[in-house]
Amino acid sequence: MGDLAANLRGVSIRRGVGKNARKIIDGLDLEVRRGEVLVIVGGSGVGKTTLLHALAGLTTPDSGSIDIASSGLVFQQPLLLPWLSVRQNVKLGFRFKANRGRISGGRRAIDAAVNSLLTRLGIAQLADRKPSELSGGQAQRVAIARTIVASPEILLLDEPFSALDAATRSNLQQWLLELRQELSLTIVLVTHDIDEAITLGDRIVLLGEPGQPLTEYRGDASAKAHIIAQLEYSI
Amino acid sequence: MKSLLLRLTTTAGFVALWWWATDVLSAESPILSNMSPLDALTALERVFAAGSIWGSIGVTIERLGLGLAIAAVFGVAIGWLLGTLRQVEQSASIVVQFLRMVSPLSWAPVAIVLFGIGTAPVVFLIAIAAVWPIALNTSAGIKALDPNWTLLARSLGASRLEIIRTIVVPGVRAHVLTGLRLALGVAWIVLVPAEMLGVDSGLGYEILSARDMIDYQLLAGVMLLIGLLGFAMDWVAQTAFKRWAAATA
Repeated sequence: MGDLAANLRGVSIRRGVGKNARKIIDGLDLEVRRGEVLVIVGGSGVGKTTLLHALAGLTTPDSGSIDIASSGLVFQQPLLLPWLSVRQNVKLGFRFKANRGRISGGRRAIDAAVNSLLTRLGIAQLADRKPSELSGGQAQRVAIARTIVASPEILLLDEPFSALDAATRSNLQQWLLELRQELSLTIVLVTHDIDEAITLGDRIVLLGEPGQPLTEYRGDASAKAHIIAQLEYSI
Repeated sequence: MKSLLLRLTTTAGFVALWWWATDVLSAESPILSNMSPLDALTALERVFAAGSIWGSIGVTIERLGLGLAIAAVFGVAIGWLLGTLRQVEQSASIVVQFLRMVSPLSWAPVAIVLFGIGTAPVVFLIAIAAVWPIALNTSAGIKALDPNWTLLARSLGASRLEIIRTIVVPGVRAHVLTGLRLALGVAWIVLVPAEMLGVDSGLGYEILSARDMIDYQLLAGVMLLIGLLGFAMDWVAQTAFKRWAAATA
């Protein structure tokens, strides 16, 4: 794939069966470049989350192709398992056979990798806490740690900060930018917050109705008015 | 410390009330006057010294364990089906509620016809009584699992078996343990009358035997023993389950 971390060609995804079947995504072409932060915005029900799930391998397209480097998905909710500590939750990233091969050296190496990541992300002091003892922002940091511990090349984020208050959201956005710099991550972020899209995105893609071509913007302030106008038009 | 003192005081008050009801209020009664706390303890001392009671305790606990084990296997399986398959839950809800409401002891004639006389029908009755708390708690536990956890595990590359091992089993464990504890209580209550159905051993049999021998001291002693054993088992179960649940909560 060369400079591309993901390449989608003619991707179509249907939902429902029989008469209720409808296309959520229709003939989508999209390229994600290595090292960029690509933000996907769009109105409700245009298939932003479905697209992200397809990139994560959770949804198989009905037609078209997706070539993608290793990826990890962060959900809107942290989805930390309440019976596990923060450290054990992060270890989940290595727990399954599919990801175990990403680290050699057995349990000790996994423990070392988890501890080192928690320290790098500034959340080592939370390691022994249970999820119920975390704030919303802390829980989402742990969720991101769990996703990146197995070193995916692309981090997929599905409105990860939408449930947080403005101050925490801004704090986490800065933290994510630092993280991206430090770990040379490629990020695909879905958000409905245009300001967040502009703060974080190198490129912003506006997903329209199924079959409509994507509209692309550079991630700077000048894009805001255009995106809002487009969104209002599509609503 | 204060609550312990309160508990001890209440317990002492209960023993005093027991003594007053039997030794004072019913002093003229040929039956109740022989069932005071002191009579019960004296009788227990006698049967423990003779060693005969140990066999009955052993048999009763063995039947309880067998019945609970069978109930756990069927209860978890039924709960699993009810919790995971909505169609099964909807179609079976009337049958489940009906069976749950049939008194376990009303199965006694059926149990005797099916299994004859002896340990088997007793174990059957315990299993019938204990299966529903386990099944319903397992089902509730499965329904309480966040479906997004499965999606999360899949996104991390988990296979179906890994999802069951990592998400479903630990997520449901606390509910199953609660069901088991409730089942233990129900099973213990059913066990004693079940052991009055033609068996010749166990604590339920000891109650009937004491009555037949007109040994009301022993009757009170065995009643006390049944209560103490039930209390002790519930305490052990509560402590153990709290510890396990803490490891999974």
